[in-house]
Amino acid sequence: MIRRALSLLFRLPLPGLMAAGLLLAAIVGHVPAAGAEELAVLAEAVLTEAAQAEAATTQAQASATQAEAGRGALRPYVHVLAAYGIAWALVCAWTWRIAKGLKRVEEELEQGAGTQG
Amino acid sequence: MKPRNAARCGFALVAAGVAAILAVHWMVAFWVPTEASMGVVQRIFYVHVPAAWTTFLAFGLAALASAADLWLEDERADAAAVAAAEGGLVFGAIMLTSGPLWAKVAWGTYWEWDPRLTLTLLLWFTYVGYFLVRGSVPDPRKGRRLAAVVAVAGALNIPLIHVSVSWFRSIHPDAVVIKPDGPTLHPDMLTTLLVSVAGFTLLFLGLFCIRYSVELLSRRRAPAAAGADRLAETPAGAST
Repeated sequence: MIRRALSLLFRLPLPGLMAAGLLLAAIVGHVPAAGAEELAVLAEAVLTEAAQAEAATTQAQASATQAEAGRGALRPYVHVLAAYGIAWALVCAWTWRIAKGLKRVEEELEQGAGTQG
Repeated sequence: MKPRNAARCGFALVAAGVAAILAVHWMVAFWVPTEASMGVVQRIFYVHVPAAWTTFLAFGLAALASAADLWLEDERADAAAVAAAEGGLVFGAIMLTSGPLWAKVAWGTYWEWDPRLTLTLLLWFTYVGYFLVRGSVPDPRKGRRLAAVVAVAGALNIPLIHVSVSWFRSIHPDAVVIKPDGPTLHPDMLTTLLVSVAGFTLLFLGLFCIRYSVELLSRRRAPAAAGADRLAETPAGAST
């Protein structure tokens, strides 16, 4: 139990400190023997609770990281499609503008031919 | 070249360019290998680099045509300069949007005030200025000459952009094709890039030819149309 408590002590700052304080108090004997046993049980309960909370937090973080990675994996495809899409859109816009100008000039030339005829 | 012949030639070039670009799309989607460190986003390279090459070609052509116009005062040279500068703005916009889309994934940011990026943006805005100068001067002849000076001066930026990666500290990737010791790309990637460069060049040259013919025909048509309008407005029996 002490090894487990020490290993968790480094990972869980606040509950770890609380449990360490209780254990220390029990060990150095500043409390009656019966009280020390109760405190030791309490400390173990605190540690168990903290470990469960830590496991839940780690799982949540892992899920979040996985979701982020999923979004990150899709992002390059979106950027590639956007780059090619914008390129086509700009070329089409210029082509449309030229086609409009060509149509206007042809109409003017036809009108000119009609006037001369 | 006569305007109508230029337009016909332009249509053929556009068809060839579109065919090459469609082939590039197939190569990018199914054939070319994925780059090891950057992954899928590296495929933006096959639109960004050809767009950059075409932009420099277009602005270089605009500068040459403007210099010819300043020297010879030939309307055909000015029409070619307008058509090329317009194409340069379009392909420059493609380059300036595809680059940041790649950079967001590769660098984590859309834009850095890196020497090459900044000089390229400056080049693009110089040619926006080319059209603004043309349109803002009341005397069209004077506006045309001032714009020609802007085009020639702006093109001096092109070689500086090319060497900026080696002259200044830059985060922009180094050249991988035009190098003293030859290209360092995977052969399949190089093939895809060269087909893409060919496609973009053909597409630009085709659209440039059509735009040039439209510009020239509309200029030649405009004085004739103005003359016809004046004749129509002249009262019957009036003599000059």
